[in-house]
Amino acid sequence: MQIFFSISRMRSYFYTLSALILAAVGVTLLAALCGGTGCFIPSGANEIFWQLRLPRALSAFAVGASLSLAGALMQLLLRNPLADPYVLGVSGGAAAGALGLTWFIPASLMTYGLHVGSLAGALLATALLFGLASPELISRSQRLSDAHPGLRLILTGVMIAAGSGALITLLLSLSDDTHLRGVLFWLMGDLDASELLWPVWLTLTLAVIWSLRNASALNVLAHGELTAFLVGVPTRQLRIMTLLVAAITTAAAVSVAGTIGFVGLVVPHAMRLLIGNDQRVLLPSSALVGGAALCLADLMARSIVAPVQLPVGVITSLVGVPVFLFLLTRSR
Amino acid sequence: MLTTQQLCISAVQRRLVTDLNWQVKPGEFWCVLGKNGAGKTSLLHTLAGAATPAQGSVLLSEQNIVDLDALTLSRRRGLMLQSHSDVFHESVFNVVAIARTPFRSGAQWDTTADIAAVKHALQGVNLEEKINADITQLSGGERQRVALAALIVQSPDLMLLDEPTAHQDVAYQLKTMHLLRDLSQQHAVIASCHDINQATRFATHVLLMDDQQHWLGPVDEVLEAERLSQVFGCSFRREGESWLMY
Repeated sequence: MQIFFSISRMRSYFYTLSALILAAVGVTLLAALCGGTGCFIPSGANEIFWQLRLPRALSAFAVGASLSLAGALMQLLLRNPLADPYVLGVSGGAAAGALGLTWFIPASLMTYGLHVGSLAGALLATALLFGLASPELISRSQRLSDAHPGLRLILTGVMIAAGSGALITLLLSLSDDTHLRGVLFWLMGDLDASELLWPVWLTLTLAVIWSLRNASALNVLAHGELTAFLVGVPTRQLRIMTLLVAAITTAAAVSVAGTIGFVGLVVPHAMRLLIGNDQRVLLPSSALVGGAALCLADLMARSIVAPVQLPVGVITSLVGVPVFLFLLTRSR
Repeated sequence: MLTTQQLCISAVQRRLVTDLNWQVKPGEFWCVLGKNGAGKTSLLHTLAGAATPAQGSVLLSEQNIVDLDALTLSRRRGLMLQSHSDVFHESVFNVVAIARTPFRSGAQWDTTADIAAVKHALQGVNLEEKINADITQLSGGERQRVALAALIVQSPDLMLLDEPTAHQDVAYQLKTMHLLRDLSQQHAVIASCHDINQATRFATHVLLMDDQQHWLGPVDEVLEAERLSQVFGCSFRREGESWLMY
């Protein structure tokens, strides 16, 4: 009887993940086959499918999965279900960094500038966030505790996002009009110009592997720093690595598609309700469902008012803001 | 087992513990007594290595705790916290099972031994029927007993407990003290308490903390009416086996 408990849990995780992988592949294919002009099965070397829709669906998946995984890691580390790279200003910092760097470098280096700039911006925003709201998370603290910074952290994040927004507006008002529309769309979350596929897939793959390898320790960390330390998990390296992985995956996602909000908030929260808080299954599931969700959101953004394309960030925010407010009213 | 050398602990503006030289052995059950704010919690956290002392050192089996890694520490000492901040919905089983971390390796799936240990510990605190309950839905007393079960599952050489009888009704206070006395047969047990009568009845030794000074030793040597009155600021009288406070 007792051994079955563990085996049945392992088996149910296996089935859950298998089903989610199938669903994710299905949704990505659907997003690749459909668009503003309807759905069709491509025959042979169909240019729209191979050159436009498939890469776009793949980048939507990678971006959604990265943001969702980053959100799940932040919620775990901060012990706060409201944490999300967009809400906490990490996405905003990455966008400001990317925009800031592309402002200063020649157009030929634009794509590298986006990557380097968003990484620098995301790390800077993360350091600022924790330096201000939760210094004990990144410094060697005198005294460990399970306490979590709660709303102070959210407010600090909102302020960092607001500051990043002001920086971005400043840079925009100084830039010339021809680039304005493209940059604006990128900022609102746009997968249209996404050609930088492999860096985000690479970081996503590494982040998922890291998460799976550390899922057991993260399960313990979810009970708080002090509790984790007391039962033998060295928390300092783990929490810093968790922060870094979350910041880097956010940066990779932002450099591809700009700031897309609330995927990292809604998806991990929904998955936690559905399958529980075991990080061994929650983290990969969040990534899979986050990817599929962004594929669907992008499909909607492309087809609702076709031929006009909406920025996908509009769709995710329209869903995410009510969910965030709902969670906020329920939080202690 | 546990040795402290010239241990000093400070709070923000004041000194809580000064020059504590203390030895605790297996088979001993220590109660830490003192009024609110005397530094009982700070002392327990320092002994567990979760807080840094102002001066002096804490040794576990002759080794300074600052030289021990988290995993080794988790086998030598455990600490039951006074309060718990549960954020995520989780089963009681999972909360207790993380205390098996010191015994695990590899993929860390629950083994038969893990599950048996968790069930046994929950039986010990009369919570076996709550094994699948949501941790955030428990009452304060039940949550505290889950924490006690986790400490039993961890089974460290030195068991530190911060107010293990808090939030418990009278029957469970007695049961908890009986349980701790049983545990002190194989482990060294240090618990902060408020009930002087329970300390007298169950503990073998007492550490009595006051501002700037402390007394430690066997229960009957430390607990004297005059000294207790001085520490707590009310009058004490011994009536047979129990203390009267007025």
